[in-house]
Amino acid sequence: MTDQTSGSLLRLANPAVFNRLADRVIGPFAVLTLLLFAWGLYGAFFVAPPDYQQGETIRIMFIHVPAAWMAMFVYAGMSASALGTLIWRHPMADVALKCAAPLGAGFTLLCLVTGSLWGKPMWGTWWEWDARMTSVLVMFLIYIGVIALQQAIEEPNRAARAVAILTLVGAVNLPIIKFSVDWWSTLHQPASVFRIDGPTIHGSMLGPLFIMGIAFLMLYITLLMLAMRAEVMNRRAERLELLAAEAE
Amino acid sequence: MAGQYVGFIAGSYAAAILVLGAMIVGAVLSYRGAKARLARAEALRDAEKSGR
Repeated sequence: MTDQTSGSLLRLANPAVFNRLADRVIGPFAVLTLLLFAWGLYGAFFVAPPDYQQGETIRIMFIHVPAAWMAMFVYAGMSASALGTLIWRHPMADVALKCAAPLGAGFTLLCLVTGSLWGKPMWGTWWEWDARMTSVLVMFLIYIGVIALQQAIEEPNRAARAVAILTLVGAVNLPIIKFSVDWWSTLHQPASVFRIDGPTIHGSMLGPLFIMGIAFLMLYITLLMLAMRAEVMNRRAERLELLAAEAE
Repeated sequence: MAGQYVGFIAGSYAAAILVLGAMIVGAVLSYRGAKARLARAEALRDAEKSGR
């Protein structure tokens, strides 16, 4: 990381700077997200042809795959925030982790549900305990665990530390999810987009898939900023309420 | 062939609308709730300051 990048990140970690930036960009980001979804869905239904093997069920891929990407991306971001909490003890890192967890859980749930709805017509089963599906289910349970732990501990600093540790322990699951299709013989197909020898999907499907991926990413960034803005306000309100209670 | 799988495709997109919709509504409501709570807390602080 360059000095300039780390300097910008440090400035953003200041709640006042973050609030100003969030207030400016949330609206435009929401509009951009909407446009990207419209473009991506048009591509998914009117540009991408039916697959020669999967037929029209390929349309499910345009929701399932971006949701799976986001499920892992959000968790990776939470792990970075956990390091920020444990090493630098920065409160904005904890705010980011706390706000990202429900969003990541949502993406993971969507990935599991759409995967199941694709699996029934293609594999003849709603669910199979294969390595990829099981490891994604484990990630969903870790997300739920992180959210539950946040709610269970009242003292904020202790809660932040405990959640950061649980998040980092759960990060072990990320490479397992990614490489499960290579390490074990799974019903789930191997990677077809992020491969060393390039994607195996035709461009007419890959284009809309990437646009949907960017739409999901923009939705996440917009919702994360909104949730973090709310959390910063909540924490400030909490401090003021505490001061008022002490003054009485 | 499309008709055979239309329920699964529609189900997937309905699930996406439900889950993503819940995420959007949740984020907006929590933002509005936090804004109102902060406004109340600041009003209380200002009232206390002016009362002293």
